[in-house]
Amino acid sequence: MRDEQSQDSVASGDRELESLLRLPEMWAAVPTDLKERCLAVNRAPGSDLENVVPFGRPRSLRHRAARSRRRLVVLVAAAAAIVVGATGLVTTLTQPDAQTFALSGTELATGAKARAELRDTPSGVEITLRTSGLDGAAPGTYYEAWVKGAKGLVPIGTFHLRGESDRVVLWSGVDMAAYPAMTVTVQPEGGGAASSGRVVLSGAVPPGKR
Amino acid sequence: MAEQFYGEPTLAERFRDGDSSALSEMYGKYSAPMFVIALKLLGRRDLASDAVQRAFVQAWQAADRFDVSRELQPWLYAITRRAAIDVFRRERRAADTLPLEPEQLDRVVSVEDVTMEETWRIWQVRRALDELPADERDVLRLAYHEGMSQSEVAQHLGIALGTVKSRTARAQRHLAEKLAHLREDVPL
Repeated sequence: MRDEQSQDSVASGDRELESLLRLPEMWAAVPTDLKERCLAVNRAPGSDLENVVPFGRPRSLRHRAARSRRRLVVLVAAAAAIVVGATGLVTTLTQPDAQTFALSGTELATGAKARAELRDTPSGVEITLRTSGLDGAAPGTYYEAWVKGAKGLVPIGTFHLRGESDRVVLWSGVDMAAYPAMTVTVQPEGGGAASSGRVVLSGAVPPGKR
Repeated sequence: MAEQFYGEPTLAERFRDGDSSALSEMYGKYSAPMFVIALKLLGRRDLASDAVQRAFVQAWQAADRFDVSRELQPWLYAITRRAAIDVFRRERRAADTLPLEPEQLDRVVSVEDVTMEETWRIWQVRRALDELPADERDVLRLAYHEGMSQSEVAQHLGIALGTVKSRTARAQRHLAEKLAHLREDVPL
């Protein structure tokens, strides 16, 4: 039972402040993974991020180049990390052994979106991607899908979408529980195996469904 | 609070200059109020996390244009609020095509009803709470968040009722000192 007299003595007399202190959000704990997501720069390997085109950021002056490179790595790493909590993360179990989640277009493909369906098979994770609003890759480029987790980035297939179909089947040889984030990048042909960092779609398996 | 020596760059200056340690320090200082106002606006922890992360990216993106003569907090606050509204709009668009549960949708439709003044006050109060000594913050949390009476707080913490009362009074006094400017201080 509430000790009314003692409870009264808690009151500071500032009703507005007290109402703020009683807001449930006021005492919310910050999610433990948020720091890593926000500060991804400090642990970013960087090597495959150097060629990334930033989100419309103008090129810096020469004397700022080093600083800008550092900031670019921060931005790209953080943008990649956004994938972990990325947009519209709605999972529905469409089949007993499959789950789907949404991917959203980034600033490089604002009208694009996709749904990914995951299915565990004896050979690996089959990932069926159904895109909409994503143009076919421009000549000289292609799309590449990736999954990402604490251990790094793993490519799961390339495609171009220049035909009639918006359906792509990809395969992951790693456990999605350990690599919950998924991105699609646009890659230049002949540009090497590393990610260009030019992410056009991003999403993630919601935490409760991994 | 870290001591600032003459000639040593401030947090804002280090942030403007692209020092990644400044980003880490900013996270330590401001992530909680950022998260709290995003949560107030969006109602879901996952969306609030998205908003805070977006805010950090946007802040870092704009860092070299930050005017260090200005206060960092109102600037970060404005970015966070904007990021939360961006997330809200994104969710509203997504709701047209994604099978959001009705209760999820209900939680993200009220963002524009929360005033800038209210969220700024919430930011300031959370910052002030984070600056209190842990024992003082705890008694306030148990009283206001958990709804405990003084006696219950004493029992919960295993300390004397008199100690709870004096600690609470001290906490309230410290909080009031930190928030003395609150009534007039609305950014933007």
